[in-house]
Amino acid sequence: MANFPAPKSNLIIERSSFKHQKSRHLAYISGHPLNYAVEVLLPGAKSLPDSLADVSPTLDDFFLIRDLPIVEFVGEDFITKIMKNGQFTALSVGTKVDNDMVVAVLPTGHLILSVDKDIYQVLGLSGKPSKFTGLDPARYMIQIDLFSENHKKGKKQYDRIIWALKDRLNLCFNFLLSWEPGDGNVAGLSQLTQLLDKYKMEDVSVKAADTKRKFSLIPELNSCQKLKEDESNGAHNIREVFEWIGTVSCDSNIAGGPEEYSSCYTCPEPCVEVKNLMCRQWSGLITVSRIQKMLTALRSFVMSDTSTPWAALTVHGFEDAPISWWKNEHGYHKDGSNLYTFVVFPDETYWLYLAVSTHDVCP
Amino acid sequence: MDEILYQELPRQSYANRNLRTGDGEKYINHFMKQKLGDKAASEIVPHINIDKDRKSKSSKPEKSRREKSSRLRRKRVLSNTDKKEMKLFEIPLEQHRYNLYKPLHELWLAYMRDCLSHATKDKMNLGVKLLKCDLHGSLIQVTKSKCPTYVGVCGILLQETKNTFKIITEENKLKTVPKSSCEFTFTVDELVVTIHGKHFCVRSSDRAMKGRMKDRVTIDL
Repeated sequence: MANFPAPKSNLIIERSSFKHQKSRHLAYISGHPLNYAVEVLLPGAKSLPDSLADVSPTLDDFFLIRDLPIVEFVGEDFITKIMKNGQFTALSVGTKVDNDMVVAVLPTGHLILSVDKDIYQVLGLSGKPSKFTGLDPARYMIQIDLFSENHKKGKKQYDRIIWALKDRLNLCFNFLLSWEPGDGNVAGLSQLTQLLDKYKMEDVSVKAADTKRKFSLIPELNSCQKLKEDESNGAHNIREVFEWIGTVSCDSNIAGGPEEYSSCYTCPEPCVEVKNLMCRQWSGLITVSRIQKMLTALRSFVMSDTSTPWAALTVHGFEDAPISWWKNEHGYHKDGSNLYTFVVFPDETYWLYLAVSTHDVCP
Repeated sequence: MDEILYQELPRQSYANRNLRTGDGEKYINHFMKQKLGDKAASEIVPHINIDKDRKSKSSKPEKSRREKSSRLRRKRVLSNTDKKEMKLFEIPLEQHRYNLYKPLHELWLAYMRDCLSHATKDKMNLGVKLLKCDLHGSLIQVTKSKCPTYVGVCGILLQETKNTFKIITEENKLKTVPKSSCEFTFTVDELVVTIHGKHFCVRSSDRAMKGRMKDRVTIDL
């Protein structure tokens, strides 16, 4: 029988403290702008605490625009009024990263186009071959820095980009947009709607979903536990904890036993029983600053609330995003997962899991 | 010194002076016998090759001179490599002006209209006809390329080599575009013609002579 190895995937685990000077938690959050869902897991809590509800992503708006040409993002007017004036994120929806063209605009001012070979040869913008297609590349990544000095009216590069996206191929996509205006901005969102009033714009709200359990077993975690797999002194295998968090968020049956028919999965040892367990997931286009706010709220909640031994915050990136962390290429092989989880402890230490799939550059 | 000079010659050296200079063979036989003895001489002498015909010897340099002169005469026609070395194919920088070649384009348009007026509407025949046409002077554009910076280069075709097109653009720049990795289009009135450069790597003269190309399956670059 043929034995095919499982496709390679990466899981990176870090342990640090939020107070530590060189802690990289903010860098990892801000480097991952295309977020599809955020999830909070609170063992011991009956319902979502007010401190977290105050910063929940439902407060944010994001939009869906149909048939928007990419060239709208590249114009100098749009860049100075919108992109340099706040945090702007956009991602094409309904396009698959492994066989379509995918477009994203990052808050850092980069336009990312992941295109297949045929479009690349016609479009006339130079890019780099994808890292995952071998010697005869079938996919190319084009990255354009919209904040660069050369991206101004009258410059050659600017004219070329406008020409390629407007006259050469006028590519239109459905886009998800989100924009947080900067502090000094009075006009607010109306500025964005004004600029794009030619196109159909729909408000989309963030969806929330709850999972609640009673009298559930949770793993008993020790923040200073060694990260290496060392089961001799009764400590957890740290990867099993990540697996457990995943099963809870999927709302699968975790109270099985060895004689259970459908699943014999049990909570990793050692474990304790808690009265309540709650998990809430928000999905939509979630901004980086929202996640940062949520993490600070979660930190203070875990510190103040005695009934919660620890808490977890998981962020999922879009499956079909062209990038994962920073400008690292992201692809879709067997799955397109790119996610990270913070396990937060009362003593301000945290564990950070970063998980990427096969066609991903290790962050 | 004087004593040695005016001494009598040794007897041997003038004993055979009556031998004429012409009889080389005889002289050598005699000389060998004298130096080596009868037996050894009879063995060696047959192997010595004496050039009997002195006339032919003197005529040899004359012939080579004639050869040389003929070679020189042939060299007056320049070979392709010579032309390349003398930079006859290169268009001097002061002639890199788009406006200079506009009349060439007009001329080419007239030529193409004339060519196509005789052609049938059948696409297969039209293709064969177009293959035989000269493209110098056409307004040609790169529509697809493996290297994206070539895409959009547009101008009048000035030179066609086996593997490249040399195009002068409206910015008065002469650009050399490789055929093999690009796709080109040109228009004659309403007819838009696409050239798949990969299958077009032929010298323009050969193309006109052959008039037919291999059918290829792929148009992928």
